Amino acid sequence: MALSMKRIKSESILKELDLPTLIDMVFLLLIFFAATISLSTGEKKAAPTPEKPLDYNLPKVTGQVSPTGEDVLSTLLFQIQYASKDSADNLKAVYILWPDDAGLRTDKEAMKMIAEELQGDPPDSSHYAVFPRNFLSMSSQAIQNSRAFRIISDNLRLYQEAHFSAATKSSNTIEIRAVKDTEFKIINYIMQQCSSYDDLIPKIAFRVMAPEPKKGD
Amino acid sequence: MAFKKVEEGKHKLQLHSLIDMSFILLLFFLVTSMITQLSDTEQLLSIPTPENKTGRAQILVQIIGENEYLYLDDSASIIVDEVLRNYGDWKPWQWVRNEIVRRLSTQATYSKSELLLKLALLKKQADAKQEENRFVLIRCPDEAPYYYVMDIIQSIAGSSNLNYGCVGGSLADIKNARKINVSRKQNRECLVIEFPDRI
Repeated sequence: MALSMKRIKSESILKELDLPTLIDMVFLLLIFFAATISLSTGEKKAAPTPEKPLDYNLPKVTGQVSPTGEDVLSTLLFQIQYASKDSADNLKAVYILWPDDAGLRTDKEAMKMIAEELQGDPPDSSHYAVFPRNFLSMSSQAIQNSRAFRIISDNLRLYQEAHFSAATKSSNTIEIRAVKDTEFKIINYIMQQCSSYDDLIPKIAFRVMAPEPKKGD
Repeated sequence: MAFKKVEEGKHKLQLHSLIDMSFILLLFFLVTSMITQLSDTEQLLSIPTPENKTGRAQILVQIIGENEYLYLDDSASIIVDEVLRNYGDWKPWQWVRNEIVRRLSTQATYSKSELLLKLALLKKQADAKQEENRFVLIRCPDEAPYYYVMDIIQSIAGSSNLNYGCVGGSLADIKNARKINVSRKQNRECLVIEFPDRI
């Protein structure tokens, strides 16, 4: 009697199982695990050995609070972008962003400083210039005399004189951030300027960003 | 005629399904927004500064287009030598030059994936022979987007004995070369190209 009562009870539980909810839950769990697995696949680090101990990337104790969530400039940054958002003729401009001595200036702050300089009377900045429309057909002599190219070489010279030395050679680097369709001639000019200091600037770091939408797109 | 009476009480909102669906949508947007954020982050690509000194290059990579590259190494000198031996003495120089460029374009032009494979092999060879220094000269048209070059540099960067240089220039410079010759140095045949002067 008791045995048959138990069987009836278990059968009724099975009948009461809400199948759609179960399927929903299974799908939710599936999505959750699929998402977390795909996001957490990173490089597998080699096991530490006595010769190669673990490289801990610990924060430096400086007593200064660095801004978070923004790009702090660590070195000289050449930013090449469209001269105007509305321009359909691909006219490019160079912004030369300097870090400050405390190492706290972000690229946005540096851009703001240049924008303030350009609002002056007359509007002028030694950290901003528009490349000439015909720079691709210009001779090397004309390139040297062109303001946009000249401020690149001037700023690089000033920065390397102030910050780069043979002692800091391994960490000497400059950064370039350029829209994807930036002409090779501009980038090659910056690279050639860097190589003109022999081995003093051994590395160039590129920050790659997507092209801005053009008019009519 | 009898119509079935619509019972209003039966048309209730399915709360369970609604909650399930909103959770699924929430998860979907959460995940997709995270992926979008990840792809928007800037990537820092560090490359060694090119060595722009005059001298000999073991490999010349001429960028023609986004998926078209001319790769000239030791094997290119065999192609050039054959044309020079067969036609060099009796055909006008312009004809010989055009024939060299035509043969190089058909036999030494590669797609991007093929080029990257060749460069990977070159890097492997350079790593195996540490005592041999190799120099890769990359020529890119001035008007071409700079990322064409970045991919090539990135593929050869990292080897201590594999250096590179960058110059602006197009395939037309090879077509207008003042001289294309093969010289023998240290038991190796070297391709000599005298490019026209740039303004």
